[in-house]
Amino acid sequence: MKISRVNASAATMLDPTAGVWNEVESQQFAMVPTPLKGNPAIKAISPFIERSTDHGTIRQLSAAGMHNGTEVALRLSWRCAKNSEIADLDQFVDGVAVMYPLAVASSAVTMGAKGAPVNAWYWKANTPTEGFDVVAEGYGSSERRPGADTELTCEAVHDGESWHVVLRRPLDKGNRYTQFNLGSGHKIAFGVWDGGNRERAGRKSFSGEFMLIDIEA
Amino acid sequence: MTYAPKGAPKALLKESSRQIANIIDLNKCMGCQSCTQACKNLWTDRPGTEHMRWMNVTTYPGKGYPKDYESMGGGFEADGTASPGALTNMSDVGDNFQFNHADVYYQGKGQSVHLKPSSALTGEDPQWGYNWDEDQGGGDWPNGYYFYLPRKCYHCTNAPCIDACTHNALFKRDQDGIVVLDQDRCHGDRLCIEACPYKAIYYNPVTEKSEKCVMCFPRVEQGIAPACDRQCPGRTRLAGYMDDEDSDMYKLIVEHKVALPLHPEFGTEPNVYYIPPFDSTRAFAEDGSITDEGRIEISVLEELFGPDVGEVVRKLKAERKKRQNNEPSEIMDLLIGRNFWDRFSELTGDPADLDTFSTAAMSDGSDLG
Repeated sequence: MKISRVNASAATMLDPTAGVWNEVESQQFAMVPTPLKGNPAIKAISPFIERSTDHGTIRQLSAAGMHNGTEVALRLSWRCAKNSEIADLDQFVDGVAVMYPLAVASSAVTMGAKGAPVNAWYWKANTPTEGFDVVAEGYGSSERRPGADTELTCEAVHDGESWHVVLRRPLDKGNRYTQFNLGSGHKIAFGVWDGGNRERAGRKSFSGEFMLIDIEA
Repeated sequence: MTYAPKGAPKALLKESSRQIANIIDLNKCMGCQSCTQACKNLWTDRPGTEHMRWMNVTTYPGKGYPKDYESMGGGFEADGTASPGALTNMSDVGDNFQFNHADVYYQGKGQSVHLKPSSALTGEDPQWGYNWDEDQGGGDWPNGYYFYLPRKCYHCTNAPCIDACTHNALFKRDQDGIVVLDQDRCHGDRLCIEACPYKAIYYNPVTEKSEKCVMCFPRVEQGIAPACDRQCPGRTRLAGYMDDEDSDMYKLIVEHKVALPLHPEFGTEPNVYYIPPFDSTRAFAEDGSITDEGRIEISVLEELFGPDVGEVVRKLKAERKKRQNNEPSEIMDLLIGRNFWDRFSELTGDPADLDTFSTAAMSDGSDLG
């Protein structure tokens, strides 16, 4: 996957239906169900979620990325019925997350580790314009940081079959957040939640270990 | 444990130096809902909590509260394996009925339009609500029966909600063993609700976080009994700490062994105990004569309180017989509770003296970041 440099305004980049998204390459990622049964690390943080069944209904996610020299945006698309309201107490909403390492040793599969944190951008369908910046140092350690602090902004459309969600942030936010260095590589991973299948927390689909991406100069 | 860090072992979160507990005497509960009201007024009058009854009283046999909680799963299997259950919905937890107040009171139609509820979710006539099956009970005519079953969070020693939460939002307070749910850590994932076999945790759709009974910890910290216990006009309640061997509650639970937890087979080791109903209305025989047997079969009580309840019922009947024969019975004296204050051991403080600004409950949370 490549985060391409484009000549577009921040507002255009945020629009999931903007034509500029047709000009950049998008890539399909295979998603696998998690939690994986029998994982002792998952069992330690919740023996109940370790026994989760029938999760991970979403098996494919399409991602594209762009920057305009000051802002970076990712567009994530996946097929899923729209679950965007918690109308009843047993309902959950759709969500998607992008994860980056904050240290060389950070692992996506373990959601980071003590001293090797990960940074994630999390979007959920009932607050469609609000992005949550998350840091984690292992399973069960994720903390949401206020969106205004990170300037993470989102816009989403559901076209009747699929979600198309854009998450946008200034390229440079300091080293508490993931850094995008133009002209170099980066690492990325994805998670996606089907709210209609009661997916939330560790019950989801994910893309596995971090994958390399390029950021165009 | 007080505020273990995220990722801390579950066993640490379940530790406490002391354990608060309750007894509820089902022979004396008259279903007046004073405890329910005391709790509601104190804790769940905020937006998003309208449907919650942290303290509730329903008729048994009946579907209970939340509706059918006994068959929704949760808790632990016999070998200790976690057993996730189902989630409750708005109807299960009694709904949040909306009333046509404007039509009745302000539209000049007071003589033609009658006050009626509608479901908060559907806007239609409610199909279920809190105490929908009140006093229906069970048994076959002419031997129908029922009793009231007050319930709240059991502040379990082996609390499955603590195990379930991936964020360690739930933990036992060190000073009293009260299970609390930290609103800052909660992400509203509701794994705790799936895990709780008593369904004593409720989702707040406004805050998108879960909430539960806090055993009135700000009162407990100041030596005042929880509101539901204190407010009971029937003296059904005893409260205290499990290490207070002089307390009436301890004597009934540990020495006399006449108080039992609800559904011990769930494996959670609850800390609210019940005196089982031991002398229900006498049953009619087939020929219409009145027998000496009660209408509630021991098997019914065994489903609720486990295999020991038969022995407890026998003991309670024998103790009452002693008093009827003018012989002493400590168990009967403890259950009667002639002195209200004896029921609360060291929790006899007056709520009027409560300093609402001094609670230290969350004082160790500053390291969360």
